Amino acid sequence: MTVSAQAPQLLLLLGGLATPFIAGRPRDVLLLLLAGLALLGALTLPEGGFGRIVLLGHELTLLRVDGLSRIFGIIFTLNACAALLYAFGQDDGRQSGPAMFYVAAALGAVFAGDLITLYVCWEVMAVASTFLILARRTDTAQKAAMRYVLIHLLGGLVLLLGVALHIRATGSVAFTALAERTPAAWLMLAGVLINAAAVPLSSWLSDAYPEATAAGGVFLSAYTTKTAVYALLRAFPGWEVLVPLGAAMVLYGVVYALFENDMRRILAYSIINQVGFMVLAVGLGTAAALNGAAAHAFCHILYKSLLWMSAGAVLTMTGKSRFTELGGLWRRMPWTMALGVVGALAFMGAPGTAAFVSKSLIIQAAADAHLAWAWLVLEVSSAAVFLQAGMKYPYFVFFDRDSGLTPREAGRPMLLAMGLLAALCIGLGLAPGPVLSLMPFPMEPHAPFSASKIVGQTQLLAFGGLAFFLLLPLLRAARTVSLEPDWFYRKGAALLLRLLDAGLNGLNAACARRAAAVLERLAALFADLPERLAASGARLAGRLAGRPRETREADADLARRSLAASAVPVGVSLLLIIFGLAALLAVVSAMPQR
Amino acid sequence: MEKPPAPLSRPPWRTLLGICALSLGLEVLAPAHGHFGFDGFFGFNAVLALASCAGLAVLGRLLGRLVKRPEDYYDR
Amino acid sequence: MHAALVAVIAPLFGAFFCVFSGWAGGKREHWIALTALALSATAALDALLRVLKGGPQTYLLGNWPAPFGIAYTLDPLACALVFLIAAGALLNLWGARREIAHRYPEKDHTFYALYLLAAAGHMGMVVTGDVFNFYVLIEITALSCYALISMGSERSELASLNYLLLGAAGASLYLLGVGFLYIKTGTLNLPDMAAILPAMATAPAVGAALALILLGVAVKMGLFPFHGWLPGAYGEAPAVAAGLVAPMTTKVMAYVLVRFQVSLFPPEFLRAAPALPQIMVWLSVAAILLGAVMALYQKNLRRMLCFIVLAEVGYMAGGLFLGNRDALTGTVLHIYADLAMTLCVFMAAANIERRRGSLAFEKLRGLFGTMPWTMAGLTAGALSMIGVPPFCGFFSKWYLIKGGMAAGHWPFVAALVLSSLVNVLLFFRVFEIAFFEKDERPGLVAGDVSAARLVPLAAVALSLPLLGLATGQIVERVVVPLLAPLT
Repeated sequence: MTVSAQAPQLLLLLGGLATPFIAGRPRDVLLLLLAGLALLGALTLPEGGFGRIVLLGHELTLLRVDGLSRIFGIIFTLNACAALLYAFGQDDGRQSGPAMFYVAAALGAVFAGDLITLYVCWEVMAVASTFLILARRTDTAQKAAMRYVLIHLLGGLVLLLGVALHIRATGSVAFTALAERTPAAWLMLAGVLINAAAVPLSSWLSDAYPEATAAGGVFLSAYTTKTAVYALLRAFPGWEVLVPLGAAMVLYGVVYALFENDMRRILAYSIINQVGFMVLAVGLGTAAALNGAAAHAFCHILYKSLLWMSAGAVLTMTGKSRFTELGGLWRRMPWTMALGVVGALAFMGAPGTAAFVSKSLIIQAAADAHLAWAWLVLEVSSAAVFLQAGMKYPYFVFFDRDSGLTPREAGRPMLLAMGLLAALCIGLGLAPGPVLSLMPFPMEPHAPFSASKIVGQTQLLAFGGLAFFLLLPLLRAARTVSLEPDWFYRKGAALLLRLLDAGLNGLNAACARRAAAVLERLAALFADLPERLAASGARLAGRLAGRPRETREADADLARRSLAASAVPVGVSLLLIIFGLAALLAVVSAMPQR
Repeated sequence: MEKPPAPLSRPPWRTLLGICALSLGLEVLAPAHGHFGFDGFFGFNAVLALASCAGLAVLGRLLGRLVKRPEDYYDR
Repeated sequence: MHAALVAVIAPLFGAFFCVFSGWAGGKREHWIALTALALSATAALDALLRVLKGGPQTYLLGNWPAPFGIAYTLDPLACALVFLIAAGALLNLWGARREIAHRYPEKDHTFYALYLLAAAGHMGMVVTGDVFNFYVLIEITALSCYALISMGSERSELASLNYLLLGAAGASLYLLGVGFLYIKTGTLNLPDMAAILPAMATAPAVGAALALILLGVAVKMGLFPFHGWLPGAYGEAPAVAAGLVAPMTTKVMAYVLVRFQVSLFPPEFLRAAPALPQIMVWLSVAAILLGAVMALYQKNLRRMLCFIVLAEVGYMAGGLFLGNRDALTGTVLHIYADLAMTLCVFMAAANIERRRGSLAFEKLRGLFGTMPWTMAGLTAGALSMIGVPPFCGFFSKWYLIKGGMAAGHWPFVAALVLSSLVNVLLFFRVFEIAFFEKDERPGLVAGDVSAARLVPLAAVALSLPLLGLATGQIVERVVVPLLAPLT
């Protein structure tokens, strides 16, 4: 069997193609099996470039294995196993199919050796994840999915433009580090950053992810953003703009989570927060920082999936996800609580959990680069996560007051999956050897457990916890939504249109006031513009011809109605043909004569 | 905004304060060396944690007045 | 190599048989038509395989030697297109028996005959190597299309009349151009003319002739600003007829432009009048933008698709006149890709219309629930039109973008990207409506259409990624040999 047949994405793709044809338990077992095989494949792939084909006039490398792609490949497949275990027995095919394609595309992207394969996988990821969000079949999920796919396809187009320009300029499709800051590179960076949920285009994440199903959220939380982090690590290491951008994401994720009422939205913001850590580290560019980013991606997927799983379990069992409606669940769902708390501890970077190692790597790298403010932002965030998913989420869901809900404990597959991830979090936290050995960039041996670091972190966590309880009254949530930059295309666009309307004397104000989706915005704009133009054109022509007012109005009305019927009068077309002929003949006769 | 009912469980003050004291004690045994000028003093992380959380919580309340809207804001 | 001739003749004779069968009162026209088209498709496939193996060939009708007789030029470009047309016409007609019988109880044999004539005409236009024979076939196609389109409602009669007037103007201009060329060169045979023309490339009559031909084909193709007939004709045509006409006619006309550009217009001509390609590219940009804007304005699925077709015409015309290999490759790929994806979406729309009675947006509620397979087909076509890999629409767009960048024509590139975005908006607006499932109004026929209509749609939808993945093959075996004489 050739190496390229071992590609993990191939197995998952087969699984995705098989989902419509098998149902129920056998399908779940099959998919789990395929994911396990894929994990095995990712662990045992030899280094090098395989799966070379020629397409579009370039040589593509479908499977490029090196340290960087391997670490991501391993965690992606591992997460897929855990998530499929979590979703066991839950789904009617609407989730597992898109999920398999989604993960396969993510793997394809991290193992891509060239930009074209990367782009293709990027697009497939966007479409597959949209269908994953749509699997929940609620109104809000559908609306969120529409906004989600629009912004991702936009990001894909930006990426495509960048890739096309880059290939044209350099003639090479290789997916490697970009040293020069060409416009093509900036375009590609923009496309990648949209997927990374960089500020200001991060609203899609907190908009769409909480609307997915329980298992859907687990899948979604891992792949899109981490593939973007991989792309940043591969192509843009050391790009300085990523440092302030990462810091902004860190703060954004913390600040917006402060007034969130929905537990899964807080987890979504915490994704942005932690991806900000990784983006910042990529910006720092040193080997230690890059290793930290890769290791943190690894550990982050472990505990973030765990957190989403616990939140999903609560959602599935209670049907509720708002803090104001939950509380006191520790008695009824003790395992979920315990495992969720492990995830929260890992999120906070408690010593003994996997994230401690990776987070301290990044923070250390920031310190070594002498960027005091970046370091400070990271430290503040590490403390502030208490106010967020670290403490707020478990406390208000499982403790605090009794909500009066009486759910059962989560099902066994869910608990098994959570237990697996929790074990990995703690196991790798206590013995980080495997993670450290996977780190792709060579650097000096590093002691993850120095006494001062452990003590410092413990102090941070202890006093953070104290602060949390001291500030408890301030932290209670309420039933609100927060305005985010997507305000600009949700409400802001409406405002802009209302101004245009008043200026152009249209009658779309009623339309514009009604719905919030951007699609209806644009439709409202275009619904009137051609008609108004046609009517004005007819009026102008009438005035030039010196016709009386009533005739002009009748002409304008006729123009508007014929436009509404999309019927251009024949005479106009014939006139255009004659003009066209005259123009062409003029051009042709201007040729040099013999 | 509804007023929530009284909490079921009180915060475990004694355990918390105990852990905080322990962490401070540990620092005596393993003193931290700061990377920059301002972070070398004893109990820096404690101060950082308290200050960050307090600051952000207050910031949150303030910003919340600006940025929070009722749940159905986007649907109206 | 009679296969190519059989491909064109089979539907022609099939049309006559349909008429006779109608006179004789039989009910077999559907099967006659399907047999004729199947025969045609098989013959076209055979021709394609032979040409791929043996290289381009010339087929002389009646064994009259060229340049006196009519010759067919058979190369991979033409044969592949003939096959796609035949297969497309076959798939489009396959499940339509009940619909046609229902709509035209008295005149169904007429419908089938016209359908077959139109198919034969399109195929003939592609293979012919004689410029006057091409005119004859334009007229055959056009007349049968006018009649086909008018067989809908009263509005379609008006639209068809509109199309007739403008189409006649276009065809007449073409004929006039051919007349001038005949006078100057004394031959009607394409390769022969191509050999003679370079000597007199800058003669005014030749220039005028080529401009007239260009204009005539542009009118028939629906390039901006001569597109006035397109939305009405394709929008009001009956569903089955629209499935034949909308995918095929514009693509065949684009093919003609490619053929003339590559084999007829001498290179000195275009070099001497650089304004000409410039104008054409700008018209293409305008076509793309206009198609995008007007499509957003529509509240009816079929109308929206017609304006998308308008934009696609802009893609092909622009790619052709940009003047570099990548753009031309993109145009050729787009001819194939667009034929398949337009067929896919029009067939899906026909299925929806069959169940819901109308394609207005408010009638499209809950379609994903009640007609999942049809919507799957529509989704495939939509993703291809948006340009998502691995569907074929992505690959042609890629080459067009590359060609636009190589030529430095940034407005064209921008228009392409914008059009992709607008297509996203257009289709996802439809998908959004189709997702809302609270549509329990009485009188709605639940459930998807019959298998007879779904299987062809599935075949076309499946061909989209297959065509996409075959891009490398297409470029290597169709485009490269086509462009070889130019370099």
